[in-house]
Amino acid sequence: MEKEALTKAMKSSISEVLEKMFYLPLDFPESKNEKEIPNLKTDKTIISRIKFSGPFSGYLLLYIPRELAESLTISFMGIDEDNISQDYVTSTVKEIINMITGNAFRNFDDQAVFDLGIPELINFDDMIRENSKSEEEIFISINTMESRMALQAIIY
Amino acid sequence: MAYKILVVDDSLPMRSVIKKTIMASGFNVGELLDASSGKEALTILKDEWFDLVLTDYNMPDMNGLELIAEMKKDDLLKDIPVVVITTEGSKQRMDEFIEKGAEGYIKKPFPPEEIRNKLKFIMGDTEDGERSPDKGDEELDF
Amino acid sequence: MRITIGVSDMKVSNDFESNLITYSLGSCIGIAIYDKIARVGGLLHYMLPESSLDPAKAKKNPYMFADTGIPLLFKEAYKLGARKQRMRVIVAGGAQVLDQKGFFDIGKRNYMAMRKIFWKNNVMVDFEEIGGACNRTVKLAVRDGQILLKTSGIGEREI
Repeated sequence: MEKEALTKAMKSSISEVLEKMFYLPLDFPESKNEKEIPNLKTDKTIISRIKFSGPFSGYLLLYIPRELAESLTISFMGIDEDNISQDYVTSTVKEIINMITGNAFRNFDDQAVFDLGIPELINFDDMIRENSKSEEEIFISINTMESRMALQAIIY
Repeated sequence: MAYKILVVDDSLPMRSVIKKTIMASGFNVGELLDASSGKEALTILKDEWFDLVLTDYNMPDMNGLELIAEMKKDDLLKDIPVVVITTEGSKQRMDEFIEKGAEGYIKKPFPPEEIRNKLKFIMGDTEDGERSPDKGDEELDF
Repeated sequence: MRITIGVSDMKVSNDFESNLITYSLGSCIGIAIYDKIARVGGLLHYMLPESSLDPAKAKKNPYMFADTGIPLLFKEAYKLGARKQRMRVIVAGGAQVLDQKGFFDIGKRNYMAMRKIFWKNNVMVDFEEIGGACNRTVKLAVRDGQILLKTSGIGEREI
């Protein structure tokens, strides 16, 4: 599994999804050591996970501050702030990771078939457990104008 | 002619996005319903005629291909055009959608015009580009 | 009669003799709208995505920003009898000037701001030419809604 090619595919997928349907300008910070995610243990950060299987298998995890997730939900659905609900927010986060993952594998190799699981939200402890099982990982930090999020691939 | 369309996706925000796009597209939409699963879609489809079904692929219990297969088994449903809206990317899977009877597919993420263009292709052009006025106009800025 | 729309400017017209034109769409966005039934056209040339960047400036000139300029473009056109449901919408610009990337790519930010506003307000685009590193000119003839797009290095064509 070519790590560099998959990283590139994930980054372009993140841009495509977040620009096309969430109207979010973003940037990938140069520094490779930026693995710090603020408020990770609290409910201020939403963690979503999706399983994939194919030529290689594992999980993708999305880390997103709740406030950013709310703002993205409003943009995505084209609604006013007053009409937002937590259900909308969690469903939108799941849809984000769903789209980023499918699109990333399409970018990576559109001849290969990757099956995607159903996205779910997990807590900090599940996330730690996931991280401990990995053989290989890719961690991508994403800067938005006012916030930061991250996408992680854990490969078995 | 007022079209009747069914949107199937287990994601509520995505159903909402697709419906909003359809309403903004310039078609005379008589009724626009949605279902959160293949099973729910089949229940709705058995009760009334639809001009078009738009469905996700990756759903729990019954995926989009399985839904199409069920529709093809039913004489009353087999001729309803189905478009798959999906994150699936492999060429093999796209070909499979068409082989199993989908009229076409749209890849996520998509700009709204892609849904409009696909609908135009399947249902024909809009009448003079005029469409039903915005519902819930009060919420718009212009 | 030629009506020139400058940078951070907007005009609508229902005068058969008028041709609306805007030049030098670099990272700026030009939006041309036309209702062929009411024979009303409008052209907006805006520079920046959000008025919150400079509310005082936005008050003086709302056409400088996407979020203040775009609603006015449509609302002024409505006053002349245009209806959103009948509009043809053409968009050009958002070029990347001087190798700017990320948050400094103002062209991209301008385009996304427009897309966000359009989406919320149920407006779809009929044609767009966005990005690249070129300058663009848009002309709209109010008589019949003919739109000409000139792209530096390519030339002029009807959209």
